[in-house]
Amino acid sequence: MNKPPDDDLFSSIEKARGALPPGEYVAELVTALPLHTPKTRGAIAIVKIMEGEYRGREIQLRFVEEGPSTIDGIIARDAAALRAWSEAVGAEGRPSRKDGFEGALKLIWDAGRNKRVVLKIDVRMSRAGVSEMFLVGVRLDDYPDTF
Amino acid sequence: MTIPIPSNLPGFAATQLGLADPGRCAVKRLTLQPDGSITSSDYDNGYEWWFRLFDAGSDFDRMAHELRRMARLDRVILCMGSPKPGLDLSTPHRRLWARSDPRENTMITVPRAWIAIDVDDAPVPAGLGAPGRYVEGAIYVRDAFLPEEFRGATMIVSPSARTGLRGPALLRARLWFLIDRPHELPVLKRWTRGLKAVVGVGDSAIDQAAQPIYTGRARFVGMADQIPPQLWAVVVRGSKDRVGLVADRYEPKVVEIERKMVATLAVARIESGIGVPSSASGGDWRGFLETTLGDDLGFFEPLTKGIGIAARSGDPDAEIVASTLALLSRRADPSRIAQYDAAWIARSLERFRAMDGRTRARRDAALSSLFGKEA
Repeated sequence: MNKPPDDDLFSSIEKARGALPPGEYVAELVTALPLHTPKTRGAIAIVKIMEGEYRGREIQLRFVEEGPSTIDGIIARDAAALRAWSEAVGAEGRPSRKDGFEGALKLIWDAGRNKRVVLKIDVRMSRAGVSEMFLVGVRLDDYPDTF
Repeated sequence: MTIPIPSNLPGFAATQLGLADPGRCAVKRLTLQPDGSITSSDYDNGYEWWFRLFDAGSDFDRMAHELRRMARLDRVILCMGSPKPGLDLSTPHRRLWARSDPRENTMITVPRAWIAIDVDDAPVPAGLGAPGRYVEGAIYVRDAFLPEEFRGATMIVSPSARTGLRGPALLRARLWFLIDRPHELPVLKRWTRGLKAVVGVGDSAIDQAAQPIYTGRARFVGMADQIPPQLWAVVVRGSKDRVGLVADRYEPKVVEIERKMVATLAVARIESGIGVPSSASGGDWRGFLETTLGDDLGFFEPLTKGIGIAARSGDPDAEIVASTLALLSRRADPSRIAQYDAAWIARSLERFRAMDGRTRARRDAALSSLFGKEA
């Protein structure tokens, strides 16, 4: 796996905040939590980086499932990302609408155990100046030959 | 003496886009009316474009030659961004660079070592706004309006549709400079936004990955193009070929503008509710436009953001159009009033609603795909 890019775009300030630079990371889903804000609902995935410079770091990826119509695009992006993650790890079945994104993450957690999953993470600066990480791709990587 | 350009610095690199939609063009049409006034049509909304990498290097003459060539092409534009890596350039694409799902983008932000500064009705000494002297007007603007690092710098000057038509003492033109190191486009955008707010020239919209920089000469109906072809792009030699851009020069001003914009936008969105008719609250998009239109941000950005909020407000189109026109008539000059007319506002409303419809459909499809048929 290539080392994630570490350029001018990603300042030391961002590192201090705990955000990762955009890139691919071998990572493991640790747990899923509900996401509730005054206007949105969804799930938070706690993900642990398993290899590379950021090994051991835990990050949060937020997946918004419901909210005002102004964030339809974000909901579409997050639903597609979860679908891609489910497919990559070979999750069995589909979550119910009632279980929502948190249910999808639980199925992903079940199916992803003992698999080497590579998450492609992008970072965008919000209007408020906060770095937001989000999932843009998932693939299952073969174990190294030496394993 | 000209300071030599280090050969390893990038030059005028961009993406050249050609309209794939038949029957549309990427130039304005200026029509002379019987009463002597000139009306202007807006650019067509191109949907799909052919992408081609463009690089004139650090050679001003070559870039000027390319600009003069592109001036004859009414379906070609430049964009500062780059095609997304892996994008199939053998087929046309939409210009997408700011989607909520970045995988959908077709263009990306990349560092560039050049900048184009749009000069829109800058006051110049009498005579320098005339068609045959607009290059002198541009030199005046470079040295009198732009920051000190631009003084005496080599540049290319090219005309816009209304160059030479705004009277002898107003200049419209575009100034092209090489800068001393590549900057990310958001950095250049912030700089240009600050320049506009502080000295009144520049258009930060073009410093975005897929925002068109229109290069074709307008179509003139009932009148001749006042700018002769040899002046469609002119190299003005200076004492240095690269500008040492002070990228954070206007940062305090830009932060101030953005704080104001975010605060006003937040109030507008909260007051408009989400998909709820806003006429009861009365504030929202009206308040946003009232606060921002013609202020530091100029006209285009507040108008598009304000109309975007209005499109979701549930207020009748006629009311949105009438209110916006009334505000424009108080704040904008006649050419902007003509540019942002009722049809433009109505088209913008339609465009925002169509975009919302497509996003909604995409959201439903993604949820169905994740949950299955029950979603």
